[in-house]
Amino acid sequence: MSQNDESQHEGFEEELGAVLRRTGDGFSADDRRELVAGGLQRGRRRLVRRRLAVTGGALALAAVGIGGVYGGSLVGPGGKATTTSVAAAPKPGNATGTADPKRPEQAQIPVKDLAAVLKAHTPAGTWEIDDLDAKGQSVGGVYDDGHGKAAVSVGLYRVGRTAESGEDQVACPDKAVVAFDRCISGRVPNGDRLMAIQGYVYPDKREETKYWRVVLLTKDGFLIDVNEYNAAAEKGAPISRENPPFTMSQLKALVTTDDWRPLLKQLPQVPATQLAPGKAAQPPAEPVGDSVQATLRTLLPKGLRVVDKGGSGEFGFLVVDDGKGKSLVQINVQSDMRDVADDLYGSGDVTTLPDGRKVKLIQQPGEKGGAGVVWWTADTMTPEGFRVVVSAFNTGAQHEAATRAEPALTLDQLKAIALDPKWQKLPRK
Amino acid sequence: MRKSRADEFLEFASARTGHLFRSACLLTSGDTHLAEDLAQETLGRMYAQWGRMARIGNPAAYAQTVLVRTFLSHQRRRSATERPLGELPDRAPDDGGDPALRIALLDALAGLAPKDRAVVVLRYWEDRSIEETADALHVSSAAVRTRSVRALAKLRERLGGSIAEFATR
Repeated sequence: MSQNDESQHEGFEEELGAVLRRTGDGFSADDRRELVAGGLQRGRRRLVRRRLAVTGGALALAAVGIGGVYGGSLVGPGGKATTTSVAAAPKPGNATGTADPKRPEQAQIPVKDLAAVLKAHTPAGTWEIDDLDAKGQSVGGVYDDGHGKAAVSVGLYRVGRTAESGEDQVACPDKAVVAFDRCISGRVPNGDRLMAIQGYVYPDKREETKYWRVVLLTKDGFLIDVNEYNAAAEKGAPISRENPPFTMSQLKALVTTDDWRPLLKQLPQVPATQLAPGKAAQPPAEPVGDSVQATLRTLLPKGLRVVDKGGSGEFGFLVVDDGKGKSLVQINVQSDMRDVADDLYGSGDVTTLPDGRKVKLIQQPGEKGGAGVVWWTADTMTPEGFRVVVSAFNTGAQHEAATRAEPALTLDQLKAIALDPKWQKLPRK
Repeated sequence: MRKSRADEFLEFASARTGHLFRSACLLTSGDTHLAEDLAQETLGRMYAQWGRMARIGNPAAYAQTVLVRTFLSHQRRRSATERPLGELPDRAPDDGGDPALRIALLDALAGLAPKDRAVVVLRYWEDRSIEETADALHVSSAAVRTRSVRALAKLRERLGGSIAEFATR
């Protein structure tokens, strides 16, 4: 990318921000009080439901963060009073009844043990460690070597289910999006993979707080992630020194020390349901390419002509015609939907099959404005949260008027498609 | 006397609802009915957790995170609405400015995958860092970067040079 392209790119980002703000600010709620009252009412209902029975669900999902598996960045330095930490797992002993049983617990490693390794493998200086008496899997604090205070943190994680949680962590980002001065990635002599980046807290450098980070991905699936800044906090603290205190070699020495090993062993296992049988840490993600749509095609009843098709990943659609008019058939194949099972199958025409799969059949009017459109759905989910939902419409496009009285597929046919074993065998990436 | 949970919550909600609604309008690319629904759902979730809010340093920012997660889970749940139809937004913002480009922007947003749209809204409307965006979405920062590149390229293609003229007006 040429210098010119790069500056154009940054320019576009700024302009986009301006346009988004002006567009967003142009919306005004008709009656804000009504929204507040509605929110309060929903909140009260939610509380009642929770008191009645709590079995996970969306609230728990929001309340329980990444847990023991690497699902995002680690907690910021300080680990509290930032938006970063609010989604982190609740502290032990709190939030009774909100922990989601299928999510791993936050590790119970004494922060002082983490701090000890951190201090032992960095040059001498003074440290103020946050929450030294707590337990968890990351440690943060402020380090001072006499040349200015600097926030430093280290987090230990097990690699989760996806490339996003593992390999992607040790690949250098695209310079087109993120401003950084230097990034290297590669293998260390024992075969572990490492990325070292010298970047900025704000990718647009509107504040020039430097953010240096080294991440090690071990062969046995652990991440050791160390971050440092040239300010006493990631955000909201002035720059205290020209560069963060530790050199990249020092950070590399810190992440590669064997002293982390006993602590890594204390990280909770990734729950078995998140792993594909026989494979460690490489279980299913999204279906590949147009495999959903292609498979849908193989499962159609005889006598239907496909006149249009599309979709990718979890989603696919076909427009079919049996000679009596176009009918849109849509499908979503989704993993890990257990958290919304109660919402989806808590009411309506729901049956549970002997293997535990739930099946809900729905007939409802279309919702995209096409006149006379009906929308039939078979919505299914395995006990593990694998959901296949197939819908058919009596039109070729939801916003267009009905072309026929009923969809080209019956509810029973939709159900048979949704329950087909092929969906569980789709190629995934 | 200590304020009741409802009073405290109402104070918070009155101050934040307008912004939540506007964010929701961008997330839904102009579907104001859905945006109202999402704003209420977000407030409901906030209320249900209000007892624990003392531990949350910044409930306003947290509410935005809840909104985005509510939106994404809504998108996954609905399932039958993900085929991009190129529909015009329900209602364009009405502050007397040039509506054409705003409609173009909302239309361009509608062409993005929901998660990409969430990245754009968090990064450029909420002004969150890559790391914060990653946290809000429960994905890695690398994933946020990938999604940003893709979304920006797509928006740029759809909006072309007209955005510059509009932004500086």
